[in-house]
Amino acid sequence: MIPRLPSALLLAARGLRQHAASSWCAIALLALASGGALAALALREASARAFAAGTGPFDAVLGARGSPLQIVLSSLYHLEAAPGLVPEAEVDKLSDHSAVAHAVPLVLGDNHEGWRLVGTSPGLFAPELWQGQPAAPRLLAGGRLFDPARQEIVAGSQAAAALGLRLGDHLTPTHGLDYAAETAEDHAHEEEFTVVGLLEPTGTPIDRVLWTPVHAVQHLGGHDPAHAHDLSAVLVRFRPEAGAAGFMLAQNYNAPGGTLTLAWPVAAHVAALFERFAWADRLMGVAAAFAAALSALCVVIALQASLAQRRRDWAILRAIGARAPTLGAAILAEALLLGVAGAAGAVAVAAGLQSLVAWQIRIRTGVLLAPVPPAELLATGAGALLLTCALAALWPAWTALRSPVAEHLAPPA
Amino acid sequence: MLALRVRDLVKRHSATAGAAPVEIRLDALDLEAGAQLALRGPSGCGKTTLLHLIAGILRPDSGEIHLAGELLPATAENTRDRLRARHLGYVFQTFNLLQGFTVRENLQLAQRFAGREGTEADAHRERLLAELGLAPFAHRLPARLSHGQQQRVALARALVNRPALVLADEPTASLDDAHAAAALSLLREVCVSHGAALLLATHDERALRAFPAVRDLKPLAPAA
Repeated sequence: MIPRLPSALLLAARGLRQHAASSWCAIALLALASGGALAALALREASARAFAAGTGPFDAVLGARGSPLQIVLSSLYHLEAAPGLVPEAEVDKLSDHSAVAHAVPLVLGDNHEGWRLVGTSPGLFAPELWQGQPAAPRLLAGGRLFDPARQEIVAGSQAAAALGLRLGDHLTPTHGLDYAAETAEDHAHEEEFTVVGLLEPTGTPIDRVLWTPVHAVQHLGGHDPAHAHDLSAVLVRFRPEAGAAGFMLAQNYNAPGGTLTLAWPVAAHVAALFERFAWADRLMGVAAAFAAALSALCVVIALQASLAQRRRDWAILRAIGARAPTLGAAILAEALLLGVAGAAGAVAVAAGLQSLVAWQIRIRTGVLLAPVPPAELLATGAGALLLTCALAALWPAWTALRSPVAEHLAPPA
Repeated sequence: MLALRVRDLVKRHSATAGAAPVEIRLDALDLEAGAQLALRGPSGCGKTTLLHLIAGILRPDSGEIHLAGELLPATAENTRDRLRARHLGYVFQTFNLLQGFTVRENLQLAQRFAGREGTEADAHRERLLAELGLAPFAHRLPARLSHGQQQRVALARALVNRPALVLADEPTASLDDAHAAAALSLLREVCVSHGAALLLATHDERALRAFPAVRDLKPLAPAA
């Protein structure tokens, strides 16, 4: 029996079923094209937001004279090497500054199986430093912070999971930031470190680091004793009432002839990184337009497929009393049904792609991206897809309205 | 009451693109309710075009067509669609069944477009399916039926809205003698039992012999 649907919807549903192969192809293409474009747009936005949030509570980073972006990437995201060394005395100097609330030293240069071993002070884990932040490094039950005088490790959640670390485990670090299994033995330090604490996941690059005292790294065998009191960077948090202190300090440190660089404000440098990829925004725009054009083409192809059969069916329907506007509405409804199915597929594809990329970014950078695109973007994308489908159906619908009934009642030759 | 009344019907058309236009002309034709008439003419003389004109599928250049007492307007396409759905059944030479719909659904769609839905319409449809021996196949798609069964579906669809007039275009073409006789007999009997007038267009002498009234169509004349 015929379902009690409006005639246009009924004819549309049957049209899709009758031309199932082309319908499914169109739905798959719609889902892939639109889902890919949606995921690209969403990821661009999500990664910019997540990387900006990844700077944590810090306002500035002091490093050796060099690129502020390199200083930020190496010290906050643990993605590159530091441009040089900073005298340890700079920590005390900054700590004594009236505008500075926290100055946290960092020493880079070693790893364990590719996971960075970073020397710092217990001040990095001070709860007051992380007040107001969405995530803070908290120790899991049973562990403790490292003793600044001992070779102990507090492991970030991701590093601990990847290395299978548990409290009380021992490990020997390897010199350098990059790890190669075949040469690891040649570069291995002799010192053994003990895992004394494990951190809860924070969704920030902190999760990817093996944290240890500054002096434990500075005095590792094989390191140049002349630099045993140097740091890689100092993370700085200003007092809320500090006002223009960041600007003044940056002016001083970054003056010509200096040996240090103050990357301030860090969020601006991260934003500048994404500004460098403004061309990618334009590319996304082109990709979205391409996806829309491809979607429209899919719908036209699906509706125009088996055109002779369709025209005959339209003529038969007219001959048994269907009105021309009913057929036009049926074609429009068929395109919209394709659009609805395609939009559902696009949402699934976009969510799948974003969670896949988010997972990879989390593994490679520790930065936690939203696993699915924002609902507003998905709704806008679905709406745009439906509109595209409706526009794409106008020509086939017009063709159906103007189709000469008598001419198409005869079977195709 | 007249099931069909045609006056001074003229239609100019070209059989193929670029061909010289010809003129189909029918001065007068009356068909009483329940009457049966065969139109005789050789292939290409415009029989199908004439049936399409009567069905309102084509618009005449001039003249009048009344279906069950209602004037088929030349301009209002929606009205022609409505009158065709309500007063006319059409058995096409190639049946023209909708391949994406089952037998029952082919009939239901015709009822829906005529605005005839509901319990009484459902009962009438099921009776018709049973009467024509189609009840066991009502759930099947047309492609899964034999030629004879498809012809009966086409007939059932033509009659499902209790039309005043049934048009049949070469219903015995491509059938052997036995099947042609059976098909024709069924068509005529069912039209009689349902009170529908029957206008059949054919050049098949076997069909023409079975009809009580035959009218010859004029040869096509070059258009003025």
